[in-house]
Order: sequence, then C-alpha cells, then structure tokens
Amino acid sequence: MKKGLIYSLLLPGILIGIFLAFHFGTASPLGGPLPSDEVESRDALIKDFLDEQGYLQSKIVSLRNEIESAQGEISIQSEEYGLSVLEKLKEDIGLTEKRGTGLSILLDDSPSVSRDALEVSDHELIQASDLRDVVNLLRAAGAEAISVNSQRVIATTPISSVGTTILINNVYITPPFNINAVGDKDVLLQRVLNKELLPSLYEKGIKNNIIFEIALKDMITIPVYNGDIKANYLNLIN
Amino acid sequence: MSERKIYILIVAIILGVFITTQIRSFLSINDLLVRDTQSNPFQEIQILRHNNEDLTSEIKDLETSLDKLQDQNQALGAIEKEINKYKKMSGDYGVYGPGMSITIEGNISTEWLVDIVNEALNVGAEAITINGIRTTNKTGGLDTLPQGQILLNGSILNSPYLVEVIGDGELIESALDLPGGIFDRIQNAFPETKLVVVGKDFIQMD
Repeated sequence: MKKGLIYSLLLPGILIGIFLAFHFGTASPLGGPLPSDEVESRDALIKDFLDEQGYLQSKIVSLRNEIESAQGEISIQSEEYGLSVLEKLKEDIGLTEKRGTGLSILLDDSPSVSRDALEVSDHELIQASDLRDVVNLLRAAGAEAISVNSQRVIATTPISSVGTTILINNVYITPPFNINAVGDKDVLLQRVLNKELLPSLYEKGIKNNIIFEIALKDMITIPVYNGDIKANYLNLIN
Repeated sequence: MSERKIYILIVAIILGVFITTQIRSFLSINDLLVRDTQSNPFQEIQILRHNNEDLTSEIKDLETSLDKLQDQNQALGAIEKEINKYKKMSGDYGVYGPGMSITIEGNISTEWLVDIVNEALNVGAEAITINGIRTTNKTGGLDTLPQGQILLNGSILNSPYLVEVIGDGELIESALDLPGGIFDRIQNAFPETKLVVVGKDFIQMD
C-alpha cells in the first residue's frame, strides 16, 4: 500500500480518536454537578452569607471600639487593671491599626482570562498559594503587619482557596490583590525582588502575563483584624 | 473501502483515543502536585456558614465583655479574661491543650511546610509549633536559605520536622488526611518523605 494512502487514513483516524475521547470525557456545563437553577440558588445563598459576613465584621470592629472606650474610662479611675498589658497584647496579635513605612504589592490575573470561565488555566490566575508565598516571605523579611485586600493577616490567618475563590480569614477576596506590609521597606523590597524566593510567581509573570507590581510606601496603614479569635483549646501555663 | 484500509482507520482511531487518555492522565498527575485544593461546590457555603457562626459567637463574647465593663464590680474580671485570652494567642506565654503532631521525615520545601501550617489553621488550629518554635506574628515566616535549608525565627530547621498543633486534633487530622488533601499532595511531590500523624491529649508549648 502506498505511504501517502496510509497517512491519509492514519491522520483523520487519529483526529477522530482524539475527538471521540474528548467528546466522551468532557462534562457539559449543564451536565455538571449542579443544574443551572441550583447554581443560581447557590450563588444567591453565597451572596446572603457574604452580606451577613460584612455586617458581622463591622459589628465586631464597632464592639471592640466600644470595649476600648469603656476600658479607657476605667483606666482613668484606676491604673491597676493592667490595661497597658492589654494594649501591648492587642498590638502583638493584630488588634490595633499599624502605620509606617513599607511596601505595597499588586497581584492580578492575566488580563486574557476570566475566573468565571468554564475552562481556565491555573497558571494564568493568582492562586492562594501565591498569596501565601508572598505573605510568608514578607513575614520572614520582618514585616510588622500585613494585610491582603484590607484583611489583616495575623498568626492564625489561613489563606486558602475553593476552586478559583480565595479566602483570607475565611473571608472572600477577589482580584486584584493588594498586599500591604509595614516594615523596613528596603529589606522587604530586596526579598521580594529575589526571584529564587518566589519562583512560581516570577515564572507566571514571564510565561502567563500575570500582573505583579511592587511599590515602596513612606506611609502605609494596615487595618485592625476584624475576625474572631479562637482560644477554645488553649490553656495558659501558670 | 478495502478490509486493510478499515483496519488502518480503526488502529488510528484507537491511537487517537490513547493519545488523549495519556494527555488527560498526565494533566491529572499535575493536578495532584498543585498546592491548592480543587473545587468543591458545597465547600464554599460550608466555610461561609461556619465563619458566620464563629463571628456571631465572637460578637456574643464581646457583648458580654462590654456589659461587664459597664458594671464596676465585674469590670476587673472582664479585663482579666480578655488579657488571658490574648496571652494565649500572643506566643509570649506558655500554653497547653489537646491536639495532634505531624512528623515529617525526609525532604520537604519551605512552601509545603507553609501549606501544612495553613491547612491546619484552616480547620481551626489555635497554636502551632515547628520543631518547638511557635509560629506567631513575631516569629515571622519560614525562610529559605541559599542551600535550601528552612529557617524559622533565626533557627535552621532540620528533618525530621515536628509540627505540633493545639486544637481539635481529630478534625484537623481528618482534614489534612482527606483523599487529595495536603498529605496526599506532599506524598506525591516528595514520594520518599514519610509522614507520621499522632493524635495527642496533651501538648505543651513553652
């Protein structure tokens, strides 16, 4: 049989095989885990939870301010309540606003992709692991306080993802991601510019056009932590 | 079409299916090596619901504290309670409680250690130490030295790495040990590395 004839059969055959395998291996959007009306209900439910979350967080901040005022009044009456200790502890764990020099990092997905698209490559998105790496690096470089999209990052802050959704302190955040850090800006900058310490992010910047911008700041403000503080299993050693 | 041509076509189609299957399995192996968890449509709602419950509980605690502060007789107790709570979190005071420990024998990189800590925090870990060093706002992040060694708070960490966690040990262990969870992903990324998990009734962090 002629070579040309074999190729003219092989090539369309392989293509048909690839087509068939993709066709039977790909779930259509409506054949996914949830029908479209359930997806809408789920989105509505998530929106309700997020609205409630926003209200609860503002209530927490407001209550903490009221408590601080009440403590201030007690402080005038007596100095024996250990309020200076309390203030120091609050500063240590992130319950006070922090201001100072530092830097601001902007991270955003590649302009060519949308998180809502059915098929999206992880390499073109900023992922929770990218944010974790940057936050960890800033901490290691001596940052005194860090926030991501106004969410204060404290020692017990998880930065996680559910699919393409990113959660910090279990609060939804969406791109673009603004990471602010108070600390020695030159030291912080030197570490962030070290490509070996953030290999994945720099690779994404080169290959996938994700946005990664750094700006030095003479004055930056990191907000107070507005989440819950869990110490249900912790006991102090006397 | 001759019989021979039909055979060639069938073989070519099978070849096409094999190629696609191979590409798909290659991509799923890559998925196992990614550091972030894959999508679960119900997980988002669960996380949000739990988070709102926690925030509501925090509001109740704060309201109780505020009420006590407004009563001269209870004010001191409220302040002491708050001081004690924050002392537990600060890392400057020794704490104890139930939890679990993870021993990692073998190589692991800084980012995967960060991920273990993160996954534990995600399911309610309240205090964590790595090789005896508590991770707090002050101890900073995990650093990587030029030779690949891991540094925490000025100390070089060596294998075996011992991560101790105070919290709901059973819950944390089950979350970390889920199929496709952090332990699975670490085992895929570092097949030679051995992970040993032990639930503990008492862990002390000085």
